[in-house]
Amino acid sequence: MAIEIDEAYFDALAETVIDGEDEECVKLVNDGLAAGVDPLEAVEKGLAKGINQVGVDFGAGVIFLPELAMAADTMKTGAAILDEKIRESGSRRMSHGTIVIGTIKGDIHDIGKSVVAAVLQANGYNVVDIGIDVDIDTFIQALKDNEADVLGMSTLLTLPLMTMGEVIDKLKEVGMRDKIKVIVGGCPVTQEFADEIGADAVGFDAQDAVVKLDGLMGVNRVHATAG
Amino acid sequence: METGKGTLLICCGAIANEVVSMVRHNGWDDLHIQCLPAHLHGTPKKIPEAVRAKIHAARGQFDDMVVLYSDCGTGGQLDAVLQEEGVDRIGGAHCYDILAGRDEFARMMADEPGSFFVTGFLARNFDRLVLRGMGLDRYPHMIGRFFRNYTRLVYLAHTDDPKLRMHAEQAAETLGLRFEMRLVGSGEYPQFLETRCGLNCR
Ligand code: B12
Repeated sequence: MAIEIDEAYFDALAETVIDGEDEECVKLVNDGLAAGVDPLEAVEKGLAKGINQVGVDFGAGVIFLPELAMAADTMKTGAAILDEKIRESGSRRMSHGTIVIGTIKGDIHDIGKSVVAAVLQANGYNVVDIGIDVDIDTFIQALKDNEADVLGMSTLLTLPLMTMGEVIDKLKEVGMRDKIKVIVGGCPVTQEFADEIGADAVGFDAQDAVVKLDGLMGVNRVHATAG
Repeated sequence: METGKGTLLICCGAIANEVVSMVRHNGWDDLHIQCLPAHLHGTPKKIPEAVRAKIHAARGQFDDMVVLYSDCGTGGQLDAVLQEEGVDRIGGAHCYDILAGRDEFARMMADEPGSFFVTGFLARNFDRLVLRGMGLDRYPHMIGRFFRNYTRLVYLAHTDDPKLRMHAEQAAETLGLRFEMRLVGSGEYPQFLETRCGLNCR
Protein backbone atom coordinates (compact mmCIF):
# COMPACT_ATOMS: atom_id res chain seq x y z
CA MET A 1 0.00 0.00 0.00
CA ALA A 2 1.44 3.36 -1.01
CA ILE A 3 1.88 5.83 1.78
CA GLU A 4 0.23 9.22 1.93
CA ILE A 5 2.48 12.27 1.58
CA ASP A 6 1.10 14.60 4.20
CA GLU A 7 2.18 16.39 7.38
CA ALA A 8 2.18 13.09 9.26
CA TYR A 9 4.67 11.68 6.73
CA PHE A 10 7.07 14.61 7.14
CA ASP A 11 6.73 14.43 10.94
CA ALA A 12 7.52 10.70 10.87
CA LEU A 13 10.60 11.43 8.75
CA ALA A 14 11.73 14.10 11.24
CA GLU A 15 11.23 11.57 14.06
CA THR A 16 13.59 9.06 12.39
CA VAL A 17 16.33 11.71 12.56
CA ILE A 18 15.49 12.65 16.15
CA ASP A 19 15.61 8.95 17.14
CA GLY A 20 18.69 8.23 14.99
CA GLU A 21 16.86 5.39 13.21
CA ASP A 22 18.91 4.94 10.03
CA GLU A 23 17.00 1.98 8.63
CA GLU A 24 13.61 3.49 9.34
CA CYS A 25 14.74 6.74 7.73
CA VAL A 26 15.92 4.99 4.56
CA LYS A 27 12.67 3.03 4.40
CA LEU A 28 10.51 6.14 4.81
CA VAL A 29 12.57 8.07 2.26
CA ASN A 30 12.26 5.26 -0.28
CA ASP A 31 8.53 4.77 0.41
CA GLY A 32 8.06 8.50 0.07
CA LEU A 33 9.93 8.62 -3.24
CA ALA A 34 7.83 5.69 -4.52
CA ALA A 35 4.72 7.65 -3.55
CA GLY A 36 5.99 10.71 -5.42
CA VAL A 37 7.30 12.91 -2.63
CA ASP A 38 9.25 15.96 -3.76
CA PRO A 39 12.79 15.13 -2.52
CA LEU A 40 13.39 18.78 -1.73
CA GLU A 41 10.35 18.92 0.47
CA ALA A 42 11.41 15.70 2.18
CA VAL A 43 14.72 17.33 3.13
CA GLU A 44 13.25 20.61 4.25
CA LYS A 45 10.05 19.53 5.99
CA GLY A 46 11.32 16.18 7.26
CA LEU A 47 15.07 15.69 7.81
CA ALA A 48 15.82 19.37 8.44
CA LYS A 49 13.07 19.69 10.99
CA GLY A 50 14.46 16.67 12.85
CA ILE A 51 18.11 17.73 12.96
CA ASN A 52 17.25 21.31 13.93
CA GLN A 53 15.21 19.97 16.83
CA VAL A 54 18.04 17.70 17.97
CA GLY A 55 20.54 20.58 17.77
CA VAL A 56 18.35 22.67 20.03
CA ASP A 57 17.75 19.74 22.43
CA PHE A 58 21.50 19.03 22.77
CA GLY A 59 22.22 22.70 23.39
CA ALA A 60 19.61 22.64 26.14
CA GLY A 61 21.18 19.52 27.69
CA VAL A 62 18.11 17.37 27.08
CA ILE A 63 19.81 14.60 25.08
CA PHE A 64 23.10 12.68 25.26
CA LEU A 65 26.08 12.96 22.92
CA PRO A 66 25.53 9.55 21.24
CA GLU A 67 21.94 10.58 20.41
CA LEU A 68 23.23 13.72 18.75
CA ALA A 69 25.80 11.74 16.76
CA MET A 70 23.15 9.20 15.74
CA ALA A 71 20.83 11.98 14.53
CA ALA A 72 23.59 13.62 12.47
CA ASP A 73 24.45 10.27 10.86
CA THR A 74 20.78 9.52 10.07
CA MET A 75 20.34 12.96 8.52
CA LYS A 76 23.40 12.32 6.37
CA THR A 77 22.15 8.90 5.22
CA GLY A 78 18.66 10.16 4.32
CA ALA A 79 19.95 13.33 2.66
CA ALA A 80 22.37 11.33 0.47
CA ILE A 81 19.47 9.42 -1.13
CA LEU A 82 17.35 12.54 -1.56
CA ASP A 83 20.21 14.65 -2.93
CA GLU A 84 20.87 11.95 -5.51
CA LYS A 85 17.21 12.17 -6.64
CA ILE A 86 17.36 15.95 -6.72
CA ARG A 87 20.44 15.76 -8.95
CA GLU A 88 18.88 13.09 -11.19
CA SER A 89 15.79 15.21 -11.71
CA GLY A 90 18.08 17.95 -13.01
CA SER A 91 16.68 20.47 -10.59
CA ARG A 92 19.14 22.13 -8.24
CA ARG A 93 18.37 22.37 -4.60
CA MET A 94 18.03 26.04 -3.74
CA SER A 95 21.31 26.62 -1.99
CA HIS A 96 22.61 29.56 -0.01
CA GLY A 97 26.12 28.53 -0.96
CA THR A 98 28.58 25.63 -0.98
CA ILE A 99 30.69 24.97 2.09
CA VAL A 100 33.66 22.62 2.27
CA ILE A 101 34.03 21.48 5.88
CA GLY A 102 36.56 19.28 7.66
CA THR A 103 38.50 18.65 10.86
CA ILE A 104 42.01 20.04 10.61
CA LYS A 105 45.19 17.93 10.34
CA GLY A 106 46.25 16.52 13.71
CA ASP A 107 42.70 16.04 14.99
CA ILE A 108 40.26 13.21 14.40
CA HIS A 109 37.31 14.39 16.55
CA ASP A 110 34.38 14.33 14.14
CA ILE A 111 31.04 14.56 15.95
CA GLY A 112 30.86 18.36 16.26
CA LYS A 113 31.95 18.83 12.65
CA SER A 114 29.40 16.25 11.41
CA VAL A 115 26.62 17.94 13.40
CA VAL A 116 27.50 21.34 11.94
CA ALA A 117 27.55 19.76 8.46
CA ALA A 118 24.12 18.18 8.97
CA VAL A 119 22.55 21.34 10.40
CA LEU A 120 23.97 23.57 7.64
CA GLN A 121 22.69 21.12 5.04
CA ALA A 122 19.31 21.15 6.74
CA ASN A 123 19.32 24.91 6.52
CA GLY A 124 19.85 25.17 2.79
CA TYR A 125 23.61 25.03 2.37
CA ASN A 126 25.29 22.64 -0.02
CA VAL A 127 27.77 20.86 2.27
CA VAL A 128 30.86 18.93 1.22
CA ASP A 129 32.21 17.13 4.29
CA ILE A 130 35.82 16.12 3.60
CA GLY A 131 36.31 14.31 6.90
CA ILE A 132 39.04 14.43 9.53
CA ASP A 133 42.80 15.01 9.78
CA VAL A 134 42.59 17.18 6.64
CA ASP A 135 45.82 18.83 5.51
CA ILE A 136 46.21 22.29 3.96
CA ASP A 137 46.44 21.20 0.31
CA THR A 138 43.43 18.90 0.58
CA PHE A 139 41.31 21.81 1.87
CA ILE A 140 42.46 24.06 -0.99
CA GLN A 141 41.89 21.38 -3.64
CA ALA A 142 38.40 20.57 -2.30
CA LEU A 143 37.47 24.28 -2.39
CA LYS A 144 38.54 24.43 -6.03
CA ASP A 145 36.92 21.13 -7.05
CA ASN A 146 33.58 22.09 -5.55
CA GLU A 147 33.67 25.77 -6.55
CA ALA A 148 32.94 26.47 -2.90
CA ASP A 149 31.92 29.78 -1.36
CA VAL A 150 32.81 28.90 2.22
CA LEU A 151 35.57 27.05 4.06
CA GLY A 152 34.63 25.53 7.43
CA MET A 153 37.38 24.22 9.72
CA SER A 154 36.93 22.38 12.98
CA THR A 155 39.25 21.34 15.79
CA LEU A 156 38.75 20.37 19.42
CA LEU A 157 42.46 20.07 20.13
CA THR A 158 44.69 23.00 21.01
CA LEU A 159 47.82 21.69 19.31
CA PRO A 160 46.54 21.78 15.68
CA LEU A 161 44.93 25.23 16.09
CA MET A 162 47.66 27.15 14.25
CA THR A 163 47.23 24.99 11.16
CA MET A 164 43.88 26.72 10.66
CA GLY A 165 45.78 29.99 10.23
CA GLU A 166 48.13 28.30 7.77
CA VAL A 167 45.18 27.23 5.59
CA ILE A 168 44.01 30.86 5.49
CA ASP A 169 47.54 32.01 4.59
CA LYS A 170 47.57 29.47 1.77
CA LEU A 171 44.22 30.77 0.51
CA LYS A 172 45.78 34.21 0.26
CA GLU A 173 48.89 32.83 -1.42
CA VAL A 174 46.89 31.14 -4.18
CA GLY A 175 44.69 34.21 -4.65
CA MET A 176 41.45 32.63 -3.38
CA ARG A 177 40.94 34.46 -0.09
CA ASP A 178 38.70 37.20 -1.58
CA LYS A 179 36.27 34.63 -2.98
CA ILE A 180 36.03 32.33 0.06
CA LYS A 181 34.42 33.09 3.41
CA VAL A 182 36.08 31.29 6.32
CA ILE A 183 34.23 30.04 9.39
CA VAL A 184 35.92 28.12 12.20
CA GLY A 185 34.77 26.27 15.31
CA GLY A 186 35.51 23.76 18.09
CA CYS A 187 35.93 24.14 21.85
CA PRO A 188 39.37 25.83 21.93
CA VAL A 189 38.37 28.33 19.21
CA THR A 190 37.52 31.80 20.51
CA GLN A 191 36.52 35.01 18.75
CA GLU A 192 39.96 36.44 19.56
CA PHE A 193 41.66 33.45 17.97
CA ALA A 194 39.43 33.69 14.87
CA ASP A 195 40.36 37.38 14.56
CA GLU A 196 44.04 36.59 15.04
CA ILE A 197 44.17 34.11 12.15
CA GLY A 198 41.91 36.25 9.95
CA ALA A 199 38.81 34.02 9.80
CA ASP A 200 35.51 35.72 8.99
CA ALA A 201 33.50 34.09 11.77
CA VAL A 202 33.46 31.52 14.54
CA GLY A 203 30.49 29.25 15.22
CA PHE A 204 30.06 28.25 18.87
CA ASP A 205 27.47 25.59 18.08
CA ALA A 206 25.57 24.39 15.04
CA GLN A 207 22.73 26.91 15.31
CA ASP A 208 25.28 29.68 15.78
CA ALA A 209 27.06 28.41 12.65
CA VAL A 210 23.83 28.93 10.67
CA VAL A 211 23.36 32.43 12.10
CA LYS A 212 26.98 33.45 11.39
CA LEU A 213 27.03 31.91 7.92
CA ASP A 214 23.70 33.54 7.03
CA GLY A 215 25.28 36.83 8.09
CA LEU A 216 28.31 36.25 5.85
CA MET A 217 26.20 35.10 2.88
CA GLY A 218 23.51 37.76 3.26
CA VAL A 219 20.69 35.29 4.00
CA ASN A 220 17.68 36.74 5.86
CA ARG A 221 15.54 34.45 8.01
CA VAL A 222 14.23 33.95 11.53
CA HIS A 223 16.61 31.69 13.51
CA ALA A 224 15.67 29.00 16.06
CA THR A 225 17.09 29.47 19.56
CA ALA A 226 17.87 26.92 22.30
CA GLY A 227 15.85 26.77 25.49
CA MET B 1 43.37 22.67 58.09
CA GLU B 2 46.90 23.99 58.62
CA THR B 3 47.20 27.66 57.75
CA GLY B 4 49.92 29.99 56.52
CA LYS B 5 52.05 27.14 55.31
CA GLY B 6 53.27 25.54 52.15
CA THR B 7 52.11 25.60 48.56
CA LEU B 8 48.71 24.43 47.34
CA LEU B 9 48.59 22.42 44.12
CA ILE B 10 45.20 22.61 42.46
CA CYS B 11 44.89 19.72 40.06
CA CYS B 12 42.47 17.67 38.01
CA GLY B 13 41.16 14.52 39.70
CA ALA B 14 42.27 12.57 36.63
CA ILE B 15 45.95 13.03 37.56
CA ALA B 16 45.51 12.87 41.35
CA ASN B 17 47.26 9.49 41.69
CA GLU B 18 50.28 10.62 39.73
CA VAL B 19 50.58 13.90 41.65
CA VAL B 20 50.09 12.38 45.11
CA SER B 21 52.64 9.65 44.55
CA MET B 22 55.14 12.10 43.03
CA VAL B 23 54.82 14.42 46.04
CA ARG B 24 55.24 11.49 48.48
CA HIS B 25 58.10 9.93 46.58
CA ASN B 26 60.03 13.21 46.64
CA GLY B 27 59.21 13.97 50.24
CA TRP B 28 57.79 17.36 49.30
CA ASP B 29 55.97 17.85 52.59
CA ASP B 30 55.27 21.53 51.97
CA LEU B 31 53.10 20.77 48.97
CA HIS B 32 49.38 20.27 49.61
CA ILE B 33 47.06 18.84 46.98
CA GLN B 34 43.44 19.66 46.27
CA CYS B 35 41.61 18.17 43.30
CA LEU B 36 38.62 19.12 41.21
CA PRO B 37 36.36 16.32 39.95
CA ALA B 38 37.82 14.42 36.99
CA HIS B 39 34.50 14.50 35.14
CA LEU B 40 34.94 18.27 34.51
CA HIS B 41 37.12 17.02 31.68
CA GLY B 42 34.00 16.40 29.62
CA THR B 43 32.71 19.95 30.14
CA PRO B 44 35.81 22.13 29.78
CA LYS B 45 33.80 25.36 29.77
CA LYS B 46 33.12 24.75 33.49
CA ILE B 47 36.79 24.31 34.45
CA PRO B 48 37.84 28.00 34.72
CA GLU B 49 35.14 28.97 37.24
CA ALA B 50 35.61 25.74 39.22
CA VAL B 51 39.34 26.53 39.52
CA ARG B 52 38.51 30.11 40.52
CA ALA B 53 36.20 28.83 43.29
CA LYS B 54 39.00 26.59 44.61
CA ILE B 55 41.43 29.52 44.59
CA HIS B 56 38.97 31.72 46.50
CA ALA B 57 38.26 29.01 49.06
CA ALA B 58 41.99 28.46 49.69
CA ARG B 59 43.09 32.09 49.72
CA GLY B 60 45.02 33.04 52.83
CA GLN B 61 45.54 29.45 53.88
CA PHE B 62 48.76 28.81 51.95
CA ASP B 63 51.92 30.74 51.14
CA ASP B 64 51.53 30.05 47.45
CA MET B 65 49.26 28.35 44.91
CA VAL B 66 49.98 26.59 41.60
CA VAL B 67 47.48 25.11 39.15
CA LEU B 68 48.35 21.77 37.59
CA TYR B 69 45.82 22.05 34.79
CA SER B 70 46.76 22.50 31.16
CA ASP B 71 44.50 24.57 28.88
CA CYS B 72 42.30 21.47 28.70
CA GLY B 73 40.06 22.73 25.89
CA THR B 74 39.07 25.93 27.70
CA GLY B 75 40.26 28.00 24.74
CA GLY B 76 42.39 30.30 26.90
CA GLN B 77 39.58 30.93 29.40
CA LEU B 78 41.47 29.19 32.21
CA ASP B 79 44.44 31.47 31.59
CA ALA B 80 42.17 34.51 31.65
CA VAL B 81 40.82 33.48 35.08
CA LEU B 82 44.29 32.70 36.42
CA GLN B 83 45.57 36.05 35.26
CA GLU B 84 42.74 37.79 37.11
CA GLU B 85 43.50 35.75 40.21
CA GLY B 86 47.28 36.13 39.95
CA VAL B 87 47.93 32.38 39.99
CA ASP B 88 50.06 30.47 37.45
CA ARG B 89 49.78 27.00 35.93
CA ILE B 90 51.80 24.30 34.24
CA GLY B 91 51.76 24.70 30.44
CA GLY B 92 50.52 22.26 27.83
CA ALA B 93 47.35 21.52 25.96
CA HIS B 94 45.99 18.75 28.22
CA CYS B 95 47.18 16.32 30.88
CA TYR B 96 48.19 13.57 28.40
CA ASP B 97 50.51 16.12 26.78
CA ILE B 98 52.28 16.72 30.10
CA LEU B 99 52.22 13.11 31.29
CA ALA B 100 53.70 11.71 28.10
CA GLY B 101 56.00 14.73 27.72
CA ARG B 102 55.14 17.29 25.06
CA ASP B 103 57.64 16.18 22.43
CA GLU B 104 56.80 12.52 22.92
CA PHE B 105 53.05 13.23 22.76
CA ALA B 106 53.48 15.14 19.49
CA ARG B 107 55.58 12.27 18.12
CA MET B 108 52.99 9.63 19.03
CA MET B 109 50.18 11.66 17.45
CA ALA B 110 52.21 12.20 14.28
CA ASP B 111 53.19 8.50 14.10
CA GLU B 112 49.65 7.29 14.59
CA PRO B 113 46.87 9.92 14.51
CA GLY B 114 44.40 7.29 15.73
CA SER B 115 45.96 7.07 19.20
CA PHE B 116 43.74 7.17 22.27
CA PHE B 117 45.44 7.73 25.63
CA VAL B 118 44.53 6.50 29.09
CA THR B 119 46.14 7.11 32.46
CA GLY B 120 45.98 4.55 35.28
CA PHE B 121 43.14 6.52 36.83
CA LEU B 122 41.21 6.60 33.58
CA ALA B 123 41.82 2.89 33.00
CA ARG B 124 40.53 2.02 36.49
CA ASN B 125 37.49 4.29 36.07
CA PHE B 126 36.99 3.57 32.39
CA ASP B 127 33.34 2.51 32.63
CA ARG B 128 32.36 5.45 34.83
CA LEU B 129 34.36 8.25 33.20
CA VAL B 130 34.71 7.25 29.57
CA LEU B 131 31.67 5.10 28.80
CA ARG B 132 29.11 6.54 31.23
CA GLY B 133 30.68 10.01 31.00
CA MET B 134 29.82 10.21 27.32
CA GLY B 135 26.50 8.34 27.55
CA LEU B 136 27.95 5.29 25.79
CA ASP B 137 26.67 2.95 28.51
CA ARG B 138 23.16 3.73 27.24
CA TYR B 139 24.16 3.37 23.60
CA PRO B 140 26.89 0.70 23.54
CA HIS B 141 26.38 0.20 19.79
CA MET B 142 27.80 3.74 19.38
CA ILE B 143 31.20 2.82 20.87
CA GLY B 144 32.34 1.73 17.42
CA ARG B 145 31.06 4.98 15.91
CA PHE B 146 32.90 7.15 18.46
CA PHE B 147 36.17 5.27 18.06
CA ARG B 148 35.98 4.39 14.36
CA ASN B 149 38.99 6.55 13.51
CA TYR B 150 41.15 5.11 16.29
CA THR B 151 43.66 2.31 15.96
CA ARG B 152 45.52 1.99 19.26
CA LEU B 153 45.08 2.64 22.95
CA VAL B 154 48.24 3.97 24.60
CA TYR B 155 48.39 3.39 28.33
CA LEU B 156 50.53 6.13 29.89
CA ALA B 157 51.62 4.11 32.90
CA HIS B 158 52.80 5.89 36.01
CA THR B 159 54.15 2.61 37.45
CA ASP B 160 54.17 -0.94 36.19
CA ASP B 161 51.13 -2.02 38.19
CA PRO B 162 49.71 -5.30 36.80
CA LYS B 163 46.19 -4.52 37.97
CA LEU B 164 46.07 -1.15 36.26
CA ARG B 165 47.63 -2.65 33.18
CA MET B 166 44.84 -5.23 33.13
CA HIS B 167 42.21 -2.47 33.35
CA ALA B 168 43.90 -0.64 30.46
CA GLU B 169 44.03 -3.83 28.40
CA GLN B 170 40.34 -4.40 29.05
CA ALA B 171 39.58 -0.84 27.96
CA ALA B 172 41.46 -1.43 24.70
CA GLU B 173 39.47 -4.60 24.16
CA THR B 174 36.15 -2.85 24.80
CA LEU B 175 37.09 -0.20 22.25
CA GLY B 176 38.49 -2.72 19.77
CA LEU B 177 41.92 -1.06 19.77
CA ARG B 178 45.47 -2.38 19.79
CA PHE B 179 47.07 -2.07 23.23
CA GLU B 180 50.36 -0.36 23.96
CA MET B 181 51.93 0.65 27.25
CA ARG B 182 54.43 3.47 27.84
CA LEU B 183 56.05 3.85 31.22
CA VAL B 184 56.03 7.64 31.67
CA GLY B 185 56.37 8.09 35.43
CA SER B 186 55.06 11.51 36.40
CA GLY B 187 55.87 13.07 33.04
CA GLU B 188 56.81 16.74 33.11
CA TYR B 189 55.16 17.43 36.48
CA PRO B 190 58.26 16.91 38.70
CA GLN B 191 60.54 19.13 36.59
CA PHE B 192 57.89 21.83 36.56
CA LEU B 193 57.51 21.78 40.35
CA GLU B 194 61.25 21.67 40.84
CA THR B 195 61.68 24.85 38.86
CA ARG B 196 58.51 26.59 39.94
CA CYS B 197 58.75 25.86 43.69
CA GLY B 198 62.51 25.61 44.04
CA LEU B 199 62.41 21.93 45.04
CA ASN B 200 64.72 19.01 44.43
CA CYS B 201 63.62 15.73 42.86
CA ARG B 202 64.77 12.48 44.45
C1 B12 C 1 33.49 13.11 22.60
C2 B12 C 1 34.93 13.46 22.86
C3 B12 C 1 35.91 12.58 22.40
C4 B12 C 1 35.59 11.32 21.61
C5 B12 C 1 35.54 11.70 20.11
C6 B12 C 1 34.54 10.91 19.31
C7 B12 C 1 34.49 11.39 17.89
N1 B12 C 1 34.36 10.45 16.99
O1 B12 C 1 34.56 12.59 17.60
C8 B12 C 1 36.81 10.45 21.99
C9 B12 C 1 36.51 9.77 23.31
C10 B12 C 1 37.21 9.40 20.98
C11 B12 C 1 37.86 11.54 22.24
C12 B12 C 1 39.22 11.37 22.11
C13 B12 C 1 40.16 12.31 22.53
N2 B12 C 1 39.92 13.49 23.12
CO1 B12 C 1 38.16 14.26 23.23
N3 B12 C 1 36.54 15.00 23.79
C14 B12 C 1 35.30 14.66 23.57
C15 B12 C 1 34.35 15.63 24.31
C16 B12 C 1 33.93 14.99 25.62
C17 B12 C 1 33.12 16.05 23.54
C18 B12 C 1 33.38 16.50 22.10
C19 B12 C 1 32.09 16.48 21.30
O2 B12 C 1 31.92 15.67 20.41
N4 B12 C 1 31.15 17.35 21.69
C20 B12 C 1 29.83 17.44 21.06
C21 B12 C 1 29.88 18.35 19.86
C22 B12 C 1 28.50 18.53 19.27
O3 B12 C 1 30.36 19.61 20.31
P1 B12 C 1 31.70 20.23 19.74
O4 B12 C 1 32.62 19.18 19.31
O5 B12 C 1 32.20 21.27 20.66
O6 B12 C 1 31.18 20.95 18.40
C23 B12 C 1 30.27 22.03 18.44
C24 B12 C 1 30.98 23.40 18.47
O7 B12 C 1 32.29 23.36 18.99
C25 B12 C 1 30.89 23.88 17.07
N5 B12 C 1 31.88 23.42 16.09
C26 B12 C 1 32.72 22.39 16.09
N6 B12 C 1 33.40 22.33 14.94
C27 B12 C 1 33.00 23.33 14.17
C28 B12 C 1 33.38 23.74 12.89
C29 B12 C 1 32.77 24.85 12.32
C30 B12 C 1 33.16 25.27 10.95
C31 B12 C 1 31.79 25.58 13.05
C32 B12 C 1 31.16 26.76 12.47
C33 B12 C 1 31.41 25.17 14.33
C34 B12 C 1 32.01 24.06 14.88
O8 B12 C 1 29.63 23.36 16.66
C35 B12 C 1 29.54 22.01 17.12
C36 B12 C 1 28.09 21.57 17.18
O9 B12 C 1 27.36 22.23 18.16
C37 B12 C 1 35.31 16.84 24.53
C38 B12 C 1 34.99 17.76 25.69
C39 B12 C 1 33.97 18.81 25.27
N7 B12 C 1 32.84 18.84 25.92
O10 B12 C 1 34.20 19.54 24.32
C40 B12 C 1 36.68 16.15 24.66
C41 B12 C 1 37.95 16.91 24.28
C42 B12 C 1 37.72 17.70 23.01
N8 B12 C 1 38.90 15.83 24.00
C43 B12 C 1 40.09 16.09 24.41
C44 B12 C 1 41.19 15.20 24.33
C45 B12 C 1 42.46 15.64 25.01
C46 B12 C 1 41.08 13.99 23.65
C47 B12 C 1 42.17 12.92 23.54
C48 B12 C 1 43.58 13.43 23.28
C49 B12 C 1 42.06 12.17 24.88
C50 B12 C 1 42.67 10.83 24.99
N9 B12 C 1 42.30 10.22 26.08
O11 B12 C 1 43.41 10.36 24.17
C51 B12 C 1 41.61 12.06 22.40
C52 B12 C 1 42.06 12.50 21.02
C53 B12 C 1 43.20 11.70 20.48
C54 B12 C 1 43.43 11.91 19.03
N10 B12 C 1 44.11 10.96 18.44
O12 B12 C 1 43.03 12.90 18.45
C55 B12 C 1 40.21 17.46 25.06
C56 B12 C 1 40.88 18.48 24.16
C57 B12 C 1 41.80 19.43 24.92
C58 B12 C 1 42.48 20.35 23.97
N11 B12 C 1 41.80 21.35 23.46
O13 B12 C 1 43.62 20.19 23.64
C59 B12 C 1 38.70 17.74 25.42
C60 B12 C 1 38.33 19.23 25.43
C61 B12 C 1 38.46 17.10 26.80
C62 B12 C 1 39.32 17.71 27.88
N12 B12 C 1 38.85 18.71 28.62
O14 B12 C 1 40.42 17.28 28.08
N13 B12 C 1 37.26 12.69 22.61
